[in-house]
Amino acid sequence: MAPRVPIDLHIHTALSPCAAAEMKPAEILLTAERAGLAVVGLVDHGSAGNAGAALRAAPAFEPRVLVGIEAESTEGVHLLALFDTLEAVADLETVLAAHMPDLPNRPKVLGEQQLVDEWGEVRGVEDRLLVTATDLGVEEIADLTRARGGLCIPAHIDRSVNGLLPLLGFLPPRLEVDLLEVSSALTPEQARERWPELAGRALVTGSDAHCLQDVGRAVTWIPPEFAQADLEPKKWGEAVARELLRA
Amino acid sequence: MSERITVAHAVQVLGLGVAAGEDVLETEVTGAQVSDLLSHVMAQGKAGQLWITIQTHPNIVAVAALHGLSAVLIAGGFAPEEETIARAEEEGIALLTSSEGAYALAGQLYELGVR
Ligand SMILES: [Zn+2]
Ligand SMILES: [Zn+2]
Repeated sequence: MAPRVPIDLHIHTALSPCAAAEMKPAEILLTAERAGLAVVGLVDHGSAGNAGAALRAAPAFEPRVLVGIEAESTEGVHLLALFDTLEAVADLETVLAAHMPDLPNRPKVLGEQQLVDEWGEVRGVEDRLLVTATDLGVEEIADLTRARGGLCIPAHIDRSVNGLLPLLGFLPPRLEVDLLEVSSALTPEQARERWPELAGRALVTGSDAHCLQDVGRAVTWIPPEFAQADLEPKKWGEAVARELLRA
Repeated sequence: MSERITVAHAVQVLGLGVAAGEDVLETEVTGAQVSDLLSHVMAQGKAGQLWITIQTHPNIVAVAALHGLSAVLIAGGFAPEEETIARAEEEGIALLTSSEGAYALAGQLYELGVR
């Protein structure tokens, strides 16, 4: 069998209120490198505030780094929107922010939202509530992501909290995504058994890590040449999907 | 409760908007449920039920058609997406709207005799 390398596209940084303060981009990348991860996705709920730090830290580490936003649709569905440039992810962030209510975070209840730099210094705290739904539909978020060259992956589609399948009952026919993420609670094979409609769809799994210990706890295996590919995330996702379905 | 309650009757008494399915309002309402998890309605829905939700996605029409629900009532002032309306017309599903919350609407339906 040809060699394969692990990827984990769903890792939170300290800007996510539910994530530990230890989730600084450089710490995450060091942990990912030690775990042998070939590609990682660093995301936060509703914000790209730590994406710049992650991209600036990236060259010092092995894994290819994608940065992104875990967006919440009006239906309550979580979707990862992954990019490899700060411009693209910041642009999507601006669009999403205009579709989110302007509410203050409640750090005591929800947790603190830390903005950190590439060296791990805390540079500030985000006061806006980030864990909140936009008024955009799942299809709109997918389209906005693709239009910016990004890779959109509905997150933990099996979970009844913020997961696509329980919330919307079945895959919406008009939703254009190449990859779907199942949570670490079950394997892609188990997901296919439970939802036969997933036949012919490329599935990945991710850790949804909120602490360093969980980085790489759930991974997807891809051929090493795909990890090096310098394709923009949208095209890369299409290529990975084809490869996963071929294998 | 022996009186036959139709979708039209509920529309009139509760002052609901009709976004789609004008011509299927004579359908009988035999029960109701409140849920925003479409998978739950797919699993638990029963023919004739009126379904109260704040979801507006086109998938609600498919779920309603699957079970032969009498109507979908979108609560809380949410407006159905255009595609949802189009699909409801296609499938012959009554799509209703109200600015009131699901809790208040459920109470009024119960009062009306929908049990
Ligand atoms: Zn999530
Ligand atoms: Zn997450």
